[in-house]
Amino acid sequence: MSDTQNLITRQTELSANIVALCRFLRQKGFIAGAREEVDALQALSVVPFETRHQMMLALKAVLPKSRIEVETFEGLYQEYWDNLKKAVDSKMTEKPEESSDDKSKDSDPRKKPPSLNHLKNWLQGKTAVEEEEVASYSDFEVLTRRNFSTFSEEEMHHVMRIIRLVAKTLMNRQTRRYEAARSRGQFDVRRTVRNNMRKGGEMFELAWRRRKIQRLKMVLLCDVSKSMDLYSRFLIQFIYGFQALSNQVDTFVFSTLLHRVTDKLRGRKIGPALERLAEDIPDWSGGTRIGASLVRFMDDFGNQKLDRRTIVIILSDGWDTGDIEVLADAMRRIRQKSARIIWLNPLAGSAEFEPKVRGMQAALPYIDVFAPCHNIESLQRLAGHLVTARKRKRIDLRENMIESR
Amino acid sequence: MKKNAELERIRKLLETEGYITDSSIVMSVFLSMQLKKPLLIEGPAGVGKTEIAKVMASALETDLIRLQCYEGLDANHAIYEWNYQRQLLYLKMAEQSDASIAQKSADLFSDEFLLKRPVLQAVTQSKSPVFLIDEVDRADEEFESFLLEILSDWQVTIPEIGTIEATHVPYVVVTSNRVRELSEALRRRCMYLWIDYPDFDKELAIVKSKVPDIDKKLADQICRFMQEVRQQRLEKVPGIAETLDWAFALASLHVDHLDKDIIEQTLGVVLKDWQDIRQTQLSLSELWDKVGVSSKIN
Repeated sequence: MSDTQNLITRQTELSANIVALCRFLRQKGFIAGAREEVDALQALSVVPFETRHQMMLALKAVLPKSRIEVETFEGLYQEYWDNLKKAVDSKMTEKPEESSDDKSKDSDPRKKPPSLNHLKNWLQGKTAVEEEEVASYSDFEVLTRRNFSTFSEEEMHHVMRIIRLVAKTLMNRQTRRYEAARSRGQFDVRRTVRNNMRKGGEMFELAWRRRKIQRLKMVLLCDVSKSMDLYSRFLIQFIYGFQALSNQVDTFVFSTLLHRVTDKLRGRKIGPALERLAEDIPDWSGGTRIGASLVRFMDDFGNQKLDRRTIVIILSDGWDTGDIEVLADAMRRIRQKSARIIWLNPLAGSAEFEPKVRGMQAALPYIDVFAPCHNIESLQRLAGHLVTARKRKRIDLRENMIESR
Repeated sequence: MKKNAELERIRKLLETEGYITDSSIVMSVFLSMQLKKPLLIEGPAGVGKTEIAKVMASALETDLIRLQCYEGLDANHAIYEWNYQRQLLYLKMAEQSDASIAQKSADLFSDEFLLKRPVLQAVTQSKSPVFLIDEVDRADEEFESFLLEILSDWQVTIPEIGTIEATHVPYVVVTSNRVRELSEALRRRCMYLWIDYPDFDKELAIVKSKVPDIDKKLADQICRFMQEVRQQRLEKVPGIAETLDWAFALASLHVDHLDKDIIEQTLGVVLKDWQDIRQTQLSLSELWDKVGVSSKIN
């Protein structure tokens, strides 16, 4: 009882606190909008919050909307009250701490009640620090910039044609849903009867249906580390070709860090796009940490970008300098979330190639299609194979593998 | 005080139905009933998500209407459908009769020819039912958006009859195994509850309540072993359902304690993946030692 009483005397309006709490949670990435604020207040009006714990439980039932949010909620909740307490205390002793804080000058005093100033400053200070952290680069990144040469029109045209074929084959999938069709496909009894009911039940018009074709999405993960340098010319064509094809494609490049390059490639001519890329990605031709990059991808983009209609294409030679366990784990997670994983390995083109590279070996069990991609012919072959195999099926397109069959 | 009693009542109800809860679950169920908001339950397979809906229904003494989701589920299978074939037969038979056109059409679109699918059933009950939308992550995204509409309006429009509004808004429980991520819109419309694998004490309580005649020591060992097994890297982590199956199996074999041989022979009840079984067999000694240590500590 005393706990809640305390709260009430300190902050006369509980609702103001809930709104502030929601705002705080929003800063932390929660989806806590007006609807959630209303829910929280309603919940508190029906819940007997005799103890502080019960109030927390009630808010925990209402505010978090995903597993991660559920797990972080209690910590954040505690953090909020602790800081509110500090803010209120400092106000009571009339020693405004924020005057010493130089960040307070860019805060807008109109927007918030005075007692929450401290909290607000703290929030803003906090986010500023986080932004700085994100913007800085790690030490071991190699800051080399490469100048990409342009490609001949003719060559580009040819590659684009094959890529279009590959992508088309990949991205159209039959679903279990039906859609109306014009006089081909299956006879649709239900609709035929329905349509002809008004004609007294005589079957004049026949209706047809067919399996709906679903457009799949695609995520492209490209290794741009030093070991891939030899193929970078081809690689860039490949990435660009896919990206230009459809807005359902998302492209990431990685060597030691992961970068999303979708927007940089979109809607530009290839020349300027490549210049931009070379400028913006400092770790181009750096070392490789495939596992860590893939984990990074899953953590940051996994839930948004992957679902069961997303095909993941990984372009890499599998030379991973990081922990192999991490790579295997990341591959497992990607496989769980995606429709298919296609690994294109430029090294796999030579007949002597065996996936003995540790990274490649760890990843192999999770790959649906493993194929070489060192030149245009190998791509063409890949396209040919994808036409015949639509289902999730292991395909290995290495030359020595095919001969042995 | 009165409200507190209500909360306590729900806990009691859940417990008398044999569902061992913790305070988060009780609070979520309580609030979803009070605020009339759908309850979205996520968690790994076999932790009793579906069970909550069943228990809620019997605790409220109301019907449970279940909509099992699958890929390709569409409105025809979820809301209602006319029984066209029968309608057609009726028309043929009615050709000879003298009834007026109006009469015929009224007959044609009567309840007799209406196939009520779960959603329509849920809105036409005389008492608020519990409406379970099971494994919503299996249905495709199109269905999810359709579900949003149902959850906000609680009405079904049948062109030939008109709009049917729910007389009693159902209590909704939506479950998901996280096969794919649900849309933000759906999450926001619901209250969210994450149920994880139970800790040792909770699992032991569940085993004892569901398999009452089990040997105390055996139950203890089973639960400790399960806790250790879940720490392994497995393809398919066993849930409470597996624990209970195992407990039942061992109890009916009249086993009163676990040892390595028994575990090895009955591992197939707990683990459902070939690789998992092999891996666990290899590390069985180590696992078993851990079980021994943990039971000595407590």
